[in-house]
Amino acid sequence: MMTMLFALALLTMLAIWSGKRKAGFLLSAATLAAGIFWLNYHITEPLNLNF
Amino acid sequence: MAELSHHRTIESELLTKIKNTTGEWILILLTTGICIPLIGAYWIQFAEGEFPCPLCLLQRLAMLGVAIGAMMNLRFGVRTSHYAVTIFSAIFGGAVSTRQILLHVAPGNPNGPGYGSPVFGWHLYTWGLLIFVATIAVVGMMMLFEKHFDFGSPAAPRPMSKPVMAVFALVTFLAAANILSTFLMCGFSPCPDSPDQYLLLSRI
Repeated sequence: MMTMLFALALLTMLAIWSGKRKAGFLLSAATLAAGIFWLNYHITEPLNLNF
Repeated sequence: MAELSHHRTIESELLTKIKNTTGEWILILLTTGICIPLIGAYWIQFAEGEFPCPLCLLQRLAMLGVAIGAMMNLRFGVRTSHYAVTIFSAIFGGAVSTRQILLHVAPGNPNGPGYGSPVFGWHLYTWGLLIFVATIAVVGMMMLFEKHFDFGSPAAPRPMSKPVMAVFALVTFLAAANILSTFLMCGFSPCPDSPDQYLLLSRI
């Protein structure tokens, strides 16, 4: 559901556009938190130099 | 009808009269500048047929986050808290780029010599790291100039000039376009590590 990340970013922009500053902060924090969640989800391969 | 047209003319004249300060022009340039790699990534996705990986999508998201911080400055006046949004997004994007560089940097890596085609000799995630570090440097430079901060006035929405509206429209369009393309590629499930098709289109 990475689509949700961009949907959150779009909602943040619409909040800023419509002059809702607090909503902008909350939504941008939610976007970042969801981004960190998906980064953790996709980090599956260990970094390794011994091939 | 004539009255509506008259009102629109007055509105247009008022918008033309809003003058952006130097700080605002730099913020407009920063926001437009961060759109260039996003448009480039779209070009590579659709014109050259390369699919973005999940880490690439997260870097796109971080670039939109950088733009969001700048948009808050342009909409509500320049504040350190708005710059914080930009810095946190740039740090997040830098972390994602670094992770992807480390995945592909070692010679003989089974993951291949890199993900996607290089652009001017570097892969997109390497450019991404450079852009995120440069963003933090630019914001640091901006914060040195305290004159452009709006400490005296409340952080209320202010009227937007035409260039500000144009850059807002561009960033919003890019976010909407990414929703559509990511949805076509991944659907409702997590994105595949190395995508090679638009999952939703392949099911039609």
